[in-house]
Amino acid sequence: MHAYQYHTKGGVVLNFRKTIGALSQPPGVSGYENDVAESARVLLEPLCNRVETLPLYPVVGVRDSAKPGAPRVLLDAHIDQIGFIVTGYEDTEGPVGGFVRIAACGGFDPRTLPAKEVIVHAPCGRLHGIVACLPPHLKNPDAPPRAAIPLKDLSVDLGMPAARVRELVPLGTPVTVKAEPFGIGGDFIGGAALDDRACFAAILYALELLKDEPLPVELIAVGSTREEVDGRGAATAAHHTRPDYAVAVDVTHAGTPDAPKERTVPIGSGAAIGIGPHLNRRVSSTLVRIAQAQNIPHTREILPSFTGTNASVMQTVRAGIATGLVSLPLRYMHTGCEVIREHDAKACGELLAAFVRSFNEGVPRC
Amino acid sequence: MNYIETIRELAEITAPSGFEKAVTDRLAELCKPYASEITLDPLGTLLVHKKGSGKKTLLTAACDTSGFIATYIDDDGFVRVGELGKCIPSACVGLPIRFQNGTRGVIGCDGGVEVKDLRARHLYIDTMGETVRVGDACAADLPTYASGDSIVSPAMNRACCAVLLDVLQRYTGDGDVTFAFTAQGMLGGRGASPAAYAADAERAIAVELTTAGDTPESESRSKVKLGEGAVLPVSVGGTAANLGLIAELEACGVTRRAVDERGQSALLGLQGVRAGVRACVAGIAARYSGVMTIARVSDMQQTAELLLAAL
Amino acid sequence: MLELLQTLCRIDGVSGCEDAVGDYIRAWVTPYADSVTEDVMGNLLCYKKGVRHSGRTLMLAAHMDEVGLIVTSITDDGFLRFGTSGGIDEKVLLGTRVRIGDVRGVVGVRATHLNTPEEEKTLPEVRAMYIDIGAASKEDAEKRVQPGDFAAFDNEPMFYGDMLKAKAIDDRVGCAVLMKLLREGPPVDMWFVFTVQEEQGLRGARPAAYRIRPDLAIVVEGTTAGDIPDVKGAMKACVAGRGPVIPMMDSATLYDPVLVQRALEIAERAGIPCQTKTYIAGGTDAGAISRTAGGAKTLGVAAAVRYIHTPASSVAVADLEPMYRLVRTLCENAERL
Repeated sequence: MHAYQYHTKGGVVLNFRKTIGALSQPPGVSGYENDVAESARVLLEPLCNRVETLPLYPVVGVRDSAKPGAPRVLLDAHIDQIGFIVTGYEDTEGPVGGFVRIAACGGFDPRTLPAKEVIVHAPCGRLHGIVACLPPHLKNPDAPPRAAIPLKDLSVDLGMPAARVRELVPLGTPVTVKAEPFGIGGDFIGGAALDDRACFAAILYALELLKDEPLPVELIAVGSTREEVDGRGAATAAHHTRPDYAVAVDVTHAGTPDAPKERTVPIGSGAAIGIGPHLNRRVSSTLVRIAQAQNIPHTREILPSFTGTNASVMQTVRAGIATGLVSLPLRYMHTGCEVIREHDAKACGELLAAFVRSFNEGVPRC
Repeated sequence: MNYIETIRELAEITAPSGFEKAVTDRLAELCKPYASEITLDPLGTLLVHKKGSGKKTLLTAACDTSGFIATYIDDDGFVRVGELGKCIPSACVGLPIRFQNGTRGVIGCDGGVEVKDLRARHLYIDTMGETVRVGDACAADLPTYASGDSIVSPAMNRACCAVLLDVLQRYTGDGDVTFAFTAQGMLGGRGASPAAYAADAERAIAVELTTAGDTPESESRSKVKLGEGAVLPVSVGGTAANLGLIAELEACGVTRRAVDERGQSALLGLQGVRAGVRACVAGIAARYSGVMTIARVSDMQQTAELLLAAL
Repeated sequence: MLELLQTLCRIDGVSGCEDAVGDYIRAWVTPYADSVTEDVMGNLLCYKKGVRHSGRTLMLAAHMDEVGLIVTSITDDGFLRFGTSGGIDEKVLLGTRVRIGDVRGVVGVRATHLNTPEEEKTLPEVRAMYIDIGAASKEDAEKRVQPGDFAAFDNEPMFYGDMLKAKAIDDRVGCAVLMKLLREGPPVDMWFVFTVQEEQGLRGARPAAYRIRPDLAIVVEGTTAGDIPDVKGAMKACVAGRGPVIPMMDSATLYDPVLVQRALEIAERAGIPCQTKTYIAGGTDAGAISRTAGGAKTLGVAAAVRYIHTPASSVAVADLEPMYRLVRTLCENAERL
């Protein structure tokens, strides 16, 4: 039995927190995903006929169809996380004066960085550090109040002498904000990099649900890379596997007191189904119809142009692909601590499984 | 190979982005004795293939320079221009340029515009009455010369081409190597993906200029210095290089890592074709990307040695 | 002392609700102290006879409270509005995990994607911030927390490089020094006072000093170290790893220059590395103690703490033993001060 799931009387239950945790342990900063790709591969193997990792590290798992010549359906969630790389050294005086400068890989909100714990993924192993910040007592009283500090003015404190930092941390070393997933209240899960590992967990959940039945499609599950920077992980994976349909599973903004209601979906509302020009109308309609028929909690999310996800990237690969988008409501995107509800992740997984099953009745239609 | 002579010869050819034929013609001549096959791709990139039974590698170097294209000639004969590659408008005022047909001119700018507000549309070329047609292209008309071990040139991309030439001339192994002198590098590495698609190699290495950080108040955090040999940037302009490939190169010689936040590179174009390609940059430290650039011959030679060892 | 410090930091005692810390310290020191009294504010006043009597009333002080948050109201959607107890910079609150007893939460902020470029440049005010405890509704939240509850930073002590990071090093490090000296037996008769509400404006120290009327007080604290990049020269205040700090002046107290000089000499003679503060910032209980009733001569000994008043406050491990030795040595030489 898979290490991260346990069977209940009624069916399969995926331990979302543990699965996300397994993906969060190894570093997987956008562009440097070789380690997290390995974790993703291990998670996919029991659920697929074969798994391979491509040159830009997207992990591709395939479950064959029972029918020859069946349509190919790709489900994609990105396993890269926003983070940083070390760009230079900054020595201050004193015996613990070794600091490093960092640049962004992906759009991490620098306003949430000061005083956060980070992990520097050095060749010698994980080094812990703190994002340095000036305490209130030493603030410049003439500076504008509550001014946000840009990333280029931040640095990471490794608590070591400068010479040792240079020895242990080569330039370009990836850095991530430390946050194993944790539970808060009911079924809420908090942590860094829930974007998009929570959705990869949802795909695994869908694969679990489909585990024992013959499939009407060739099912391709992709843990893609570089989504946060250039989307090349999904593009090259889609090029390689030539799917007819590709559904991206990504996160979308969940409501918070300071966010405009019309630009968010409520947390707890299930899966957000994307509708718009970058998404194939037949796929979107089918997703909505299935969700309604099977009482899967869902909302509709209208995306007038670039969806901000791999769906847009995959739509124009080779001669084009019919794309869809299923999104997980997530609070505090791209900050040091994001929040989702397991209820919503499960709804996404159920919807994806139902979409695959729907090919038994025919291909997607309006 | 005599680097200064080769670079000077190539740099003196006026061939800005989109108009690389003049330099690719000369490069083709220089490559002919060593290549199995030479082709020009639809964008103007020169693909020089040295067939082999071993590993398939692609080496690239951009062969274009930045410049201007004549878009409009006013009643007084002043030539309005569009940029071929990003320019710093204030650095261009007073710059001598030469068109591909040999016509020379000087760049001027509209009066009454503050330096900080200067854009390309405020510039024009004064050709002193000599004829130029709309659509003609020009580049900086400045000499390339040596100073000690350093080379000073307005067309330092040609030094990257020289490194490729050096490797091509000396390589005797059985690897299958494509040398791509890419077009439109100054427009954001545009020539890279078609070249990578055509070459279909297992790994790709772009020879490019890397921002040096050894000048006063430099914003570069990696503090790359001239004279340190081959630089292997882990990231250029936000695009990650393949760390495995970097490790392979590091095993072949003395190198240093860096992060080049500002640079523009062929890296993204090389990596993202087909099912993805392992790619990285072999960087030559260079100061000043505005008008004249300074780099060291020893850095270029060491980069060539590194590539030869890695092939 | 390293173990003790970590244990103390794990306990939550936000300014205004120091009970848990007080209970722990009281239970720990009672076997060693001659007397332990808790006053009406919650200060712990402990007395122990030493090897000799110095002829003066000597008092050591460290504060038990830490900076944190207090819940002010609950929104209709079950989020918690809050205020700060003690000085916390807005920029360390966003995305920070907090705990209210056993209830875990995070200070949320809307995603940057939903901001205009102008909004990106400024942080929200504290009163526009909120804590997310994963409540399904207001009713659900009200079952678990109430307005008036205190929230502390939620993280574990951790070593990185040669440093120790833990919330509340300011001033559990002072408490640890006092506790260790009490257990080992002080050289002279002394009061060991664990104060409350220092972060609220030195409030606990005032009544404690009024009751004890010390002739000499040594305040053992954590002090702000600004030795991070982009901070030049004097602005660093002090440097982590260079030993305990004996300040000449801070924003609340101008320490007696003669006393400071003698203390530095005693330290040098004993071979204990120490430094002084190069920038006037921060205040300690010394400000209250030196000016209560008829006044008292006061001295400060502090550990250089980076990222003070944040969840990531950090101290150089190598600074801890010298700090203890310095306090002990000053007490041994109490007559000379």
